[in-house]
Amino acid sequence: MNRRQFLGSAAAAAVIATWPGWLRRAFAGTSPIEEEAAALAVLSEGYRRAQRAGKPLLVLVIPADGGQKYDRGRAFGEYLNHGSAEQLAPLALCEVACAEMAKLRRLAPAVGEGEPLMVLIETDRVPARVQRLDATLGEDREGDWRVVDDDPADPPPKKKETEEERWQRRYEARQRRADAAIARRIERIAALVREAVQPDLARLEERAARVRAHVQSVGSGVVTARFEQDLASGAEVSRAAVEEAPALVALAAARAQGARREALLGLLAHVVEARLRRVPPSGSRWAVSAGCGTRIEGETQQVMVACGMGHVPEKSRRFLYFFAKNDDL
Amino acid sequence: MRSRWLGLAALLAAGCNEGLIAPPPAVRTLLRDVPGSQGVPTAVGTWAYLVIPAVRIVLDVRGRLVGSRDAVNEPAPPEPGLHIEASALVGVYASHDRLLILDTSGEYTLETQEGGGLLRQEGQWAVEAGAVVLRASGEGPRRLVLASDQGALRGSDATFAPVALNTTPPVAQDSIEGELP
Repeated sequence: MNRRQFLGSAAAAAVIATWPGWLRRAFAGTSPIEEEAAALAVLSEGYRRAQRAGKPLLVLVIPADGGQKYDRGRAFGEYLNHGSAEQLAPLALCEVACAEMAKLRRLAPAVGEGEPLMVLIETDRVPARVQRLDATLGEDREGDWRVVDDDPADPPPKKKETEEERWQRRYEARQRRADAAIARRIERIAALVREAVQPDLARLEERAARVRAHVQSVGSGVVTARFEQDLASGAEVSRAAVEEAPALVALAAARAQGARREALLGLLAHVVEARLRRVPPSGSRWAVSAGCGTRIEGETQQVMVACGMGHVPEKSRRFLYFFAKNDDL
Repeated sequence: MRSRWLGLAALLAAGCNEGLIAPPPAVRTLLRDVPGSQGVPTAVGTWAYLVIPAVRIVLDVRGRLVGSRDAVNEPAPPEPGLHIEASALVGVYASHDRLLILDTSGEYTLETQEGGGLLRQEGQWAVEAGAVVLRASGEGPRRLVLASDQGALRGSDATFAPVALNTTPPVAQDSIEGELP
């Protein structure tokens, strides 16, 4: 078994040991119809929420392979927990859910084969426009800390340094490499979302028009006619209005500069924080692991396995815990 | 003897006169799809049904079979004045023994529980005249109307409710690590 295989297996085993109570409840169907309905409920509800809000549905794809579940969950965790306001802002324009491709294909056959990182489904028409968002994140594994002691990338020893000093220097070098690798992963995911959701001003204006129509059709009392004027003039706007019409805020941010732009992006990032950082995206759970055991947030029944998998960089510790009924680990 | 013939004649006259007694359901079912079947064919069919036991048995059996099938495919009346946007209907619906998926490509899958397995029917779906119309090859169109503001779809034989999650993830306040700038 090579190092990559071993590390992948260890990481996977660390996050999946047994089915907690909430997972059993989530798949509590007693008949084939009920089981199938439960398995598709995340996507169906996610699509409905998105459609009713005049937003697209962004699906974070859960890999079928158990080992890859951890890698993707970690990468999405890094993005959602440590992305900058500018990197997170486009997410506010979407409804987000997590699902396996096999289930996603049942609701959106146009997604095709394979396992892209994400899929963006527009909800304004049938047949729907579907975009696959994919990039390779795997080469940055060398930048993390699940490595052997004698890593050739470590700085060479100095003549007059003690073992402790050498260890400290190696520690700091690895931390820098890990942070750089995490930053690359975050930017790679953020760029995919940005390019799909708001590639240019024209697409952003389309989304804003859809949100205006939506607000008008539902007769919102939150987003008023003054909202866009307030956004343009720099006046204070309510958080509820930002949540209901994020595309209008994103459009104003795209037209603004300097501190005003930063402030508007901050408003959108706070929407993402409330919807995806405090609570997990639908179809997943937040979990924390520092290398010995995994704690699933909000659950009393914990998964505690695979101590000794090594140090986990601080920005990788909180990750999306993906689950599937037929995990075979 | 004469009174018996008079009684039979009166019965036949009544049976053949749609103004007095409508033709039996089994006869109506038989002649419903035949163009120009009003008048003489209806009268003859009614007469044969009433007088010949074998005809009555055959038409009754046929009527029950066809009638039950038509009851499934018979469109339910749409809600008056209801405008439905197709994209708002995409999703997964379930009745007690069936699962209906209206997908984003305009295709549908209807799975029916049969013993321990599922029977699958596939086709196209569209919104027409205020209702969802399912079309599969070899099958008549099936209409489903929006039953309520909860998003249920009602057919003549089943009501499909949108599927919903039965668990809600708790909010975890104690482990939020990242801080927004």
